[in-house]
Amino acid sequence: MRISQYLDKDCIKIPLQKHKKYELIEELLALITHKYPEIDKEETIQNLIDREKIETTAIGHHVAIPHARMKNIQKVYFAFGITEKSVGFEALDEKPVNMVFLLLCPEKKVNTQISLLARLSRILHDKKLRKKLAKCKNSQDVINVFTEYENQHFS
Amino acid sequence: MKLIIIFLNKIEYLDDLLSAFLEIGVPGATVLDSVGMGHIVSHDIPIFAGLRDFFAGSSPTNKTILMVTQKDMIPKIDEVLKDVTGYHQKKGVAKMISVPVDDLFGFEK
Repeated sequence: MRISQYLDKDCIKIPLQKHKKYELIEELLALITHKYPEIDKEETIQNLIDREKIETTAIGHHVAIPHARMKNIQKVYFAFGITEKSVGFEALDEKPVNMVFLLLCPEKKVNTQISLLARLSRILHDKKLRKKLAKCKNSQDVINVFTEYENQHFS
Repeated sequence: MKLIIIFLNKIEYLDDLLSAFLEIGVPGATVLDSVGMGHIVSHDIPIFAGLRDFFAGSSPTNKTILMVTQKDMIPKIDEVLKDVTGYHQKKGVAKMISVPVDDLFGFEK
């Protein structure tokens, strides 16, 4: 399972424009729903909010991975963005966030969701990877960074 | 010799289970407090908090029972475990595995 295989050039935005947690999530979701209009925006945003209410999805080191399990989708959708300014995300380390991954998974593919969250949260603890991501200027840079990293670290 | 490992999720069976083991001649066992991985992951690592419903069966407190025994005791132990817990018919009650023991040190002969 590779993060790079799920990244979609059209669902990556640098910089993100919004400066509030839920607006940022909506901005990322809009990347997905713009390309895949069949996804129910209202239902998805509610699921994402419900998930945030359980506990924050900010994993520390200025990174957040808001995510939701969806009944009516058949595949995984990913969006990624780097914010213009750091945004408060109620992270446990109290650091604001500037890199946000949005993940939507089909309800029946829980194992895929677990694997993706585990992989993402683990590799994003790598300071070198975060530094490289922070320098990305566009979608292709992000895809290249993940592809290169995963080629190096995973068979 | 075999090492039997029983993962007992329904800890309310523990007392009866240990008593039943004594009845069939199990001379001793080590009982450890343990926690299911799913419970730790979904309660202690915030990014997995949304999976609490998925890991709902993962017990916050379970017991792991270790015992070294002769191979021919395994069917009896399994029978006792079935009698006491009904684990063969109910999901998430208990699991048992046995592994070969190469050498024993410090055990009474």
